[in-house]
Amino acid sequence: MDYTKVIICFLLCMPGAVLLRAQEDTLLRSVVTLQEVIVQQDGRLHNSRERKQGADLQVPTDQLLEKISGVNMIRRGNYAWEPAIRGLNAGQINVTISGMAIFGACTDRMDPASSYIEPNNLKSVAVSYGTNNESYGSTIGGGFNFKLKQPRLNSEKRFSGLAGLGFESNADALQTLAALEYSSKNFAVRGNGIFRKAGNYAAGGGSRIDNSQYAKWNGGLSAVYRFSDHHFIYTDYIQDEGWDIGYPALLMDVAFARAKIASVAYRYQPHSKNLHHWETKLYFNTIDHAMDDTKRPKDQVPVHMDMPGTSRTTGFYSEALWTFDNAHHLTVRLNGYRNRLHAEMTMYPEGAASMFMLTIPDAQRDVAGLDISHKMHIGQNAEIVAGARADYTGSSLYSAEGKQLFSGMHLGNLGRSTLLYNIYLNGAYRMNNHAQLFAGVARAMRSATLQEMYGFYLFNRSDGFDYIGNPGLKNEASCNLSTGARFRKSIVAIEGQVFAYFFQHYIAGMQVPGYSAMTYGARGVKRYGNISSAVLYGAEANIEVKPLSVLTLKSSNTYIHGQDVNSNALPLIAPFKSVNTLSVNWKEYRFTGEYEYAAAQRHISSTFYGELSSPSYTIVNLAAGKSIPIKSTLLDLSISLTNLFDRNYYTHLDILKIPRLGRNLTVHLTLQF
Amino acid sequence: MNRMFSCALLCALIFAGCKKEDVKPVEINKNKIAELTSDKTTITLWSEKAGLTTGYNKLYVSLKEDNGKEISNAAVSFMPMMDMGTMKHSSPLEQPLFNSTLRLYEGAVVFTMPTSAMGSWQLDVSVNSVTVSFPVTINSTTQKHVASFVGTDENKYFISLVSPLQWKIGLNDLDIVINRQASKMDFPADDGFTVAFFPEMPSMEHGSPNNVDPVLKGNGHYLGKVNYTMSGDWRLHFKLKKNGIVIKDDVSLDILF
Repeated sequence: MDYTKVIICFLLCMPGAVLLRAQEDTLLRSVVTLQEVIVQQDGRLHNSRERKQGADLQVPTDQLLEKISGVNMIRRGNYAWEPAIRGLNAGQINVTISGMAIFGACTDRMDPASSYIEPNNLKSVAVSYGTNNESYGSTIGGGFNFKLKQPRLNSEKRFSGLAGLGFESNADALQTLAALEYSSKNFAVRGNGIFRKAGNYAAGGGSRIDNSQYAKWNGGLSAVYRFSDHHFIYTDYIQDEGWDIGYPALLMDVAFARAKIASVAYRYQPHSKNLHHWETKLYFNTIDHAMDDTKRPKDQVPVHMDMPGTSRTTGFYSEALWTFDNAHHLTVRLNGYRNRLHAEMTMYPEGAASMFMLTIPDAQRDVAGLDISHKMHIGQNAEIVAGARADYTGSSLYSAEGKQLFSGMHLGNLGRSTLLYNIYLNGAYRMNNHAQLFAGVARAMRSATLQEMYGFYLFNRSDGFDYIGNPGLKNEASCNLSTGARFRKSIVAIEGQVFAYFFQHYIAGMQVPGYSAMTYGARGVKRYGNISSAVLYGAEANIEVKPLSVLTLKSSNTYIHGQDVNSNALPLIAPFKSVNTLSVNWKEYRFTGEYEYAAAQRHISSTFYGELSSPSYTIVNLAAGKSIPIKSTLLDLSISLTNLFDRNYYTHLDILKIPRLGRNLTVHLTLQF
Repeated sequence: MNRMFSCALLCALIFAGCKKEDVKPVEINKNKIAELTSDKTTITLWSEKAGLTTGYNKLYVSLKEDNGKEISNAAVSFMPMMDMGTMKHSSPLEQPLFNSTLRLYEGAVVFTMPTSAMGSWQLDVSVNSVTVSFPVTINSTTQKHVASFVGTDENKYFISLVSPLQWKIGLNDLDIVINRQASKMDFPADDGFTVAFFPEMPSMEHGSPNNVDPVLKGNGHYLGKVNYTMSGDWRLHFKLKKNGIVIKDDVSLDILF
């Protein structure tokens, strides 16, 4: 069975640049904690409309994610935004690439794992809201699994591919991409590449944001080989290299950010048996990252410094799915990985000796987990997914130098091992042909991240404190509840959902009096600690009206509220946001108008979490596109005009309140063959 | 490639050869400063460091009869002397005692100033009341490992970092020795202080947490812990009290690693 048929399947309805908008498929939504955004359809699909919908691969991953309901992006510049799901981010969510664990190397969170992949690499993005059977690790807030596009065996075309060119008026951004796939009966290979470059952008009103440039290329190579009827070998390799990347919200930029991601997998897929498939993958990824302050004006750089970091992850997973009586689906997954982080800083004060320290003192995380989930249909109208996951998590410092460094911060044992468990129960019930109810309950846990355990004077620009890790942190845990309903009748579809996370041992930085900060201008030092409890709750409402076959009106609304036991508002929580679109699909033409509103965020804690309030904003975006079939190829032209009225605005999650792009004309031209 | 390999092999052989020649019953793993023979006894002066510098220097003496036999039961004493022409003065010291593990007489001298045009140092070593004089050159350091101050009690004191200084990033043992200047020739160790301290990076103007104030170990030594959060220049600030009365509010030593 194909699980994509039972999860809500969101298709990208508008290829127009940033106006990508997840649109619901008509399939029954059964699992409430997961949705999948299709990036590229399979070439075999004959439905040309669906092919078109996957056509625009030129939209950056960041913007793709930001368009997903419940996802907000933490922004430090015009590149490598960091995703948050329902107000949860970093260690609270899990980011994997086709099940592979991968961790950014930057101590200042400049390189979330999502910055090392491009839509051109992807088939889809699975977004989990909470704990479910799609995660490859213990998690509280769910996460993203970026599913790589595999070449297809025995495709109708021996050669297929695409080539595209894009331009943006703001920041003079230019990009070019291509992909080529070869398919035969037992062997298929796909290569893809993209190059992007942008200068400094102008915010609304025209002011130029210095140090917001970036340049990158990304290349992927995937192959599949069928060595007998039911046995397949898959290999994937992605290399992503960014350079000269500005971070206007931070003290430093990036000289380079390089990732190499490789895997080999064996898949056994018998037909007409209870075992649907059994897949085992071995993988390795390495990230090299170097911060850079040489392009900043002298007065912004009190001391020149080098801050390189590396992240290396080796891991595996083995998963199998069985189906019994067409009503029971059992998934068992065993996975494990080792991640090693090293980050250092060398400062060069004028007229004095250089100074060196480790900012992540050679930290290591070992994880081994077992995940079992059981999905069953009860009668025609009900479905339940129950599952559990247990993880052994070991944390340690692997070098003598690192141990010696941290000996000055934490007396006692620096290593730590814990057992985590996640349990979840999700259910859906169809009342009639129009209405459906769903609910989920989960007990979730996560281990503190290596940064939270061993970070050494990591500067957080949001609150202006240097952060020190705490190996004695307790696991953060939560009880997650969610429930909702959907209704669909004739031209109207409505969906509403409420959710709540009740945290125990919520991890946050706490000021350490008497410690002197290391970073110039820092307000002090914080050490990670546990807050006894915190709560996060919110609601999402989506309405879709289709009065005419060519016209669709959509409204997507989200709200989250979070506070800890001391009544301090949790940080990085987006305010109420409403995105409303009107789209017209007429023949080969597409038109979209979008109105986005975010309320002011005044529920903040400036004393404890160091946040400032953010004002409301509204922006209007327009897009148009046309697909032109030329013989067996398809030429797609997308034009969009974002921030039509050139508003100077920022979201609450934009670090240092750096304004976003002003008016921007984007033109994407893609040829598929 | 082949040639390089041959060279490397040759070098290895040569060094291996050298080592063989040096083999002695007890190998002394110190730096030889000087050697004098007096009354059929060879007196060799060794140092922990490659050269002698201002500040606390661990010094070792080995004694050998002319038949090569080691002497381990002699009474050995040091007397450092700075001759500045118009005046002479000695310096704080720790008289040598025989260390049966090292097979050396182990002591220390705090050289309070470098050899210069202003004056020169000599170190008198007495072995069973026979005295030999070693002229020694004391190099200046860019770092301040010894400081002198006049306390509120009108006494002059010397505070020194006890070597060997093998600093690492992280928590380190800190050993200091305080001597009072009783006269130009007498610098007794002072056990009467209560020491408070904090480290600072002068070029960064930040300190570090989790330092442990040195407490008396004996013979003027005070042992504590210093936390270097990074390598580079550090300044150690000491506040010294005696019986609750502040003798010196701030005296500092500088280190670099």
